[in-house]
Amino acid sequence: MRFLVQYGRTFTILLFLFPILGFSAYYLYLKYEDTKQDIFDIVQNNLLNNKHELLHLYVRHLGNEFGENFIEVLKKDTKKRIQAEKELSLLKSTDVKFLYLLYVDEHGKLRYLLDTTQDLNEKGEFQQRFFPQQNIWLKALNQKKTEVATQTKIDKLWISMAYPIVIQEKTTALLGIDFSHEEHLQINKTLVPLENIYFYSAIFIVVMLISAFFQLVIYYKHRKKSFIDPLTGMYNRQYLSELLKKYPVGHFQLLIMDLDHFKQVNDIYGHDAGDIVLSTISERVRSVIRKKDILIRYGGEEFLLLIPDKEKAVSLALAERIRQHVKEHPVNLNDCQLSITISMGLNPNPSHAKTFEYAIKIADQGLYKAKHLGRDRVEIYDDKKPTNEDALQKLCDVKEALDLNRIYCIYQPMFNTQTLEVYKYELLIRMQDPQGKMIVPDKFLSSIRYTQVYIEITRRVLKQAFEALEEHDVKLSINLDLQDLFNDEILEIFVDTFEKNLSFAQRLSIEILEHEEILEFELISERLTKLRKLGIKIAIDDFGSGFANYKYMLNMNIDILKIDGSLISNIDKNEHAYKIVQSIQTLAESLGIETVAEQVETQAELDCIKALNINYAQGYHLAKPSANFLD
Amino acid sequence: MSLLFADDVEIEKNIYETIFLALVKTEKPNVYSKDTIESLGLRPALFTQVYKCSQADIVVMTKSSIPKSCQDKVVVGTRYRHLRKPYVYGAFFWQKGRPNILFKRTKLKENNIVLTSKLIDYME
Repeated sequence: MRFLVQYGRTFTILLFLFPILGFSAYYLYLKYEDTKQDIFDIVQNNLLNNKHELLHLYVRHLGNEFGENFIEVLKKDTKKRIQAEKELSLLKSTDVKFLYLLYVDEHGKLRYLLDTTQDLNEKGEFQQRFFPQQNIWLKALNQKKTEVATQTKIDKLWISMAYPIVIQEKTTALLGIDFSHEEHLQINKTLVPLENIYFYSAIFIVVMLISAFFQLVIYYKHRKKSFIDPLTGMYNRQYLSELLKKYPVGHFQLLIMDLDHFKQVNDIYGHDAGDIVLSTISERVRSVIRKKDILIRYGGEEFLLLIPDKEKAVSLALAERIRQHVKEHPVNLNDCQLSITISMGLNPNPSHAKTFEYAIKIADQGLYKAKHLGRDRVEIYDDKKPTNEDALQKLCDVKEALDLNRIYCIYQPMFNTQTLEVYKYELLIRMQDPQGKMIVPDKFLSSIRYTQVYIEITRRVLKQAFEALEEHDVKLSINLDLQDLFNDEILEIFVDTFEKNLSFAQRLSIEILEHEEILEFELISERLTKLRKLGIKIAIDDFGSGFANYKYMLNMNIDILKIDGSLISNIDKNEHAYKIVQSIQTLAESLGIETVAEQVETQAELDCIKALNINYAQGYHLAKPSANFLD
Repeated sequence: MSLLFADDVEIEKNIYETIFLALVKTEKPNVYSKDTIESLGLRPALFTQVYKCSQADIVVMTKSSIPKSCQDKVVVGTRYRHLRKPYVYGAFFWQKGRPNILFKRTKLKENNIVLTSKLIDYME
């Protein structure tokens, strides 16, 4: 699997192509050699048939000339022997080197009877013993069949032929002929250009293939390098995108991991230390995962583990093993040991998501959950809840609205209850659906809270706030979920936007909303301090409802209390509400905290609020939210 | 002499060794040849090449005759026709690219030379 992703199809094809081409070339060469040999054999057989026919005719001639027992006649009669030898020499063509007649003596030995050789040193004398080198002579003698032996010397093919002369079913003599076969050489010479073409083509193809192979090796080596994150040695996102081209979304369970408080490590110990932590933790994680799991550095301190198993329990066990191992093995940083923990979100059913990005977001929501529940834990995003297709669709809709600028802010004025002058404006976010209908934030923000889209919206709101502060001499208030304070990215947007423009920050307040109970006040307090340092005022929104209670007043250093609209509504008629608001106001006054009454919708309510000395009020009775500031 | 290949020269030397050792009882006989024979110069060999006929146990005859003073040695011819000389014991020669060995039965008998069974077939 990884081989295919790392080396690609071309490399694999080439690996198979090499032996196939090699074998094909070798097979062609063998076929060529076979064909050449066939041609040689045909030419040679033709030649042999000619010689055989010639010898056959000569023997017939001897029988006709000297009678059936011509061997005995020739042995005894020198004159006839000379005549027969002359006649035999007539058969010698240029290719024939030796042509001779041997007889078999009474001991079965071969001796010369006639020899047409001119060179006296080579010529066998009458009755001289003939020592057969090859066994064709004895074979021809015994089997009464013509035998042939070939021998290649220098650049010629030498052929020796033993032709038996059978009289009364007994081989009495042998006609011997040694001749060269130059056709062999000629055919070879003719084929040389063809062989050269084949040879050089084969060399060219081999060189090209080798060169292509090495180029591919180099290419894929670089490609492999480009898949590896140099710091951690993990695969990177590029590898992930290659992997996803080959596998469907549901092929892996997704486990997203994030180092807890890593930003603090970087801030306190520096980025070099951060790098050491990252590389050490990556080693730790790698040491406990299995070979088939694929570990990817997904973001700064965010790792993604692709688990090719179907069972959730397997992935959970694996995640737990990673968490434990990381926790139990602190990172050595110079002289000190740094305890690092890791939070994880698991998406066991990525096939439920239409795309890999959505599947990651689901795992990401699990990760956020793990972070908010105190970190150092593994959480599965509950897919019975908003992980379903509707939630994903909402996310799509919001993203689309954001891209098409259908998300915008309006301003609701907040008035001084005594002077009824505008004190500040609250920025309210709105989304317009494709049909033009306006959607309030409660309907769309919750489904995107832990996504990048949410952060993008925050960035957009802050940008608008900044521009408004720049262009108008107004004070602004923006809403922020308490959970957002845990998000480093959101906090960074604030710092980046206002750090260099502290005068703008001083005209800004943040109204903190709460949806879930938060226990980590220490951390929240630390985050709020950062904002306060910029000059931003902190308000608690919807005070008196839900989780927004006195505990927050106690634990967070706040500037403004916004009393929940449910207490203000009908305050003039509801004695209990009146008394609760009165007590809140008394407490706030004693702590030096300003108060704001929300949802003031009647003059009677406004009068009550005024009577209770609540500093500011907002609501439809005073002014409706508008795209513009009041004159 | 026909053109010989390296292998043929080696074969020729081995044949000469066989012939020499069959004809004389000396462990490493001295061999004389008036003309240079390539195979006789090959080393190592089971015979010693000498340059005086008088020192030789065996004389390899390359011309049609040899000096009288050498005729009492064991003479080995290099042509078929050399066998006609009465002082020649045997001959080794190439003909039609084939090595030929022949021993003269009468001469061997005269000198009480007995050939091994391997060589008896070459006796004429």
